[in-house]
Amino acid sequence: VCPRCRESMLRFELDGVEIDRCDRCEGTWLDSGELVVLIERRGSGGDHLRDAIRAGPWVGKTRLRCVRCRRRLHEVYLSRDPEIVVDCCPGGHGVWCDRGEMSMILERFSTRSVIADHLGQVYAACRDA
Amino acid sequence: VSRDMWQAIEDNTRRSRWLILLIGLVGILLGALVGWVILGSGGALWGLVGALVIWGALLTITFRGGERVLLFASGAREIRREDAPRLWNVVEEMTIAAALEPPPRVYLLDGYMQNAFSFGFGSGSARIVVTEGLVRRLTRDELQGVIAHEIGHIRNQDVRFMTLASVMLGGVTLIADTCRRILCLGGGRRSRAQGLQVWVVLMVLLGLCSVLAPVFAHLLYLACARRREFLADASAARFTRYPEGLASALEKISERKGVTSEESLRVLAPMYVVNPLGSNSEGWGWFRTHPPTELRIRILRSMAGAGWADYERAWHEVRDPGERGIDPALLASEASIPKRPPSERDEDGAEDFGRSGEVVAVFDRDQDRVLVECACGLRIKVPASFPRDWIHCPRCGSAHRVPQPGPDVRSMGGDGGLVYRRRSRGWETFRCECGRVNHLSPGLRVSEVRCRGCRRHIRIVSFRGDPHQEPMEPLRTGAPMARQSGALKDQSVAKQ
Repeated sequence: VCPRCRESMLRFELDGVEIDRCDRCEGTWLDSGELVVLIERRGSGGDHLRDAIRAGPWVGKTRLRCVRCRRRLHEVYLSRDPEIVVDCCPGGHGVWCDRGEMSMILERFSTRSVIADHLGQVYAACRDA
Repeated sequence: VSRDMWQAIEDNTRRSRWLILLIGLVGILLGALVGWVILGSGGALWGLVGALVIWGALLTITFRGGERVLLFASGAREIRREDAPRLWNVVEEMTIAAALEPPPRVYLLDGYMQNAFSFGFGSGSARIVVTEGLVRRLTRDELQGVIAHEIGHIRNQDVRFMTLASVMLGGVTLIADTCRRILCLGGGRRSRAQGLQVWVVLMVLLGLCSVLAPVFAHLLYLACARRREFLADASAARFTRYPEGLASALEKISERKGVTSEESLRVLAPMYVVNPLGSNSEGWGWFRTHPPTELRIRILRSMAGAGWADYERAWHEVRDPGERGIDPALLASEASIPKRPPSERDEDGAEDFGRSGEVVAVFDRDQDRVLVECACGLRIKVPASFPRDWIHCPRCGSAHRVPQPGPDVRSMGGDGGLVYRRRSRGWETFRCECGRVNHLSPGLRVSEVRCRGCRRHIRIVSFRGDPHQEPMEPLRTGAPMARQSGALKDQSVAKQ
């Protein structure tokens, strides 16, 4: 269920890895379980996007709640310029990216992260994701 | 299975009886104390009887479907062969290797926690539960190791003991909890009849007991649980003839014990492959249900062969040579069994991929999602409540019609049997006459499935050749939903 609109999300599966996307607000939920599977499949140790999420300053709580544990998501700054903010579950269940954030993440991380690479493949036809 | 193996199993059974008796005794004494505090000196007998009744009721429930209580509590879903043929295949292999008759029933638990457990009484109704995260992350050899470990538990009759013990433990906890509630509410008849001092002393005593009894029962339980893990590991090595499989699975599982541990129930902890609650790094501690995972991996990795004797030797190598292993008699009873080489993995891990896909599909089905497969390889899972008729693939941009409600299954012949004709060798989604969405996996090789909604049998006519060359039979076949739901509507109009 979409944390923002509270509606069932569409689920896109590519290479056995699933991504949830809300059809209304066009936000994307990345489940950490899926990300673990993805990183392991591609056989790479580190991942820039994941590291950025871990290292980025965790600012305040948002209104949105985690899809899995219902705890409030925290805002995490991936970069200041351009300003990319994603919402992360404090329990580590996943990451929520709003509509505009996804395209910025793809632009910035696509060459250095298997996660962003995978997202880029799934959203190949809609660049404004 | 050698005679000494049976010896080990017999030991297990004997120990189980003692344990259950002890836990029961703790419960009954506690009950007597509660009765005494509440009703005065005559109440001890009533408390004792009450505790006996609770104990008896719990035992009855346990023997008549206690595993269902546990299953319900953990939210597991039973899978059939047609749901996940590749996972089923692994279980079947190990069932045959262990000569387990009848085969265990397999359940899948939703979530990214990686673990497996088994329960049930005797081998007849044994159930193995694996989590979705486990199946998706492990390779075939690793999964085989884990399943073999669980089947080892079933074979060694650990499972019966564990289920019984955890239900008994639940009973003691229940009585202790009642005690604590009574304490909180303050009182009983005695408080009025006797002096305040006596009452305070009794309350403290009762409070102490209500805290200590579950702890004591738990300790007893753990003492018996740990050694079983080694025995099950040895069994797994023997059944798979490939100890490395389980070793590397344990390594994977313990390195990150899933994202959430609250998903698991505390009572179920001893039944998992790796303890889902606590850390497993080092030391034996009193509260551990499992031996340290690292130790188990080291033993498995230093095995020269795959037999009991090999495990026994490796155990002595890794641990103190003077210590008693699984069973000293095993060493003499059997020669070393050679290991098998690792099974060949296809380059892109297609086998692991497929199994993972099957498992994902099991849960999609439960959420009533409709599958739309795009030619670019992306699979779109549309929720049943999706409001629009069309959907665009985010990968290649092509438009797909969202399947609309309407039966794809046709009644044929006089007996009213349902038939669905496959349109491809890939994943397929169709709706039954009752309206429920059903899925067919690419690996499915059965001629009949049951509808998830109305439970009617649906005959599956297998796919032959290219769908473009096959002439359409509009009234007798089910049309693939993604493309032909318009045609379906026409058919229903024509029928009327």
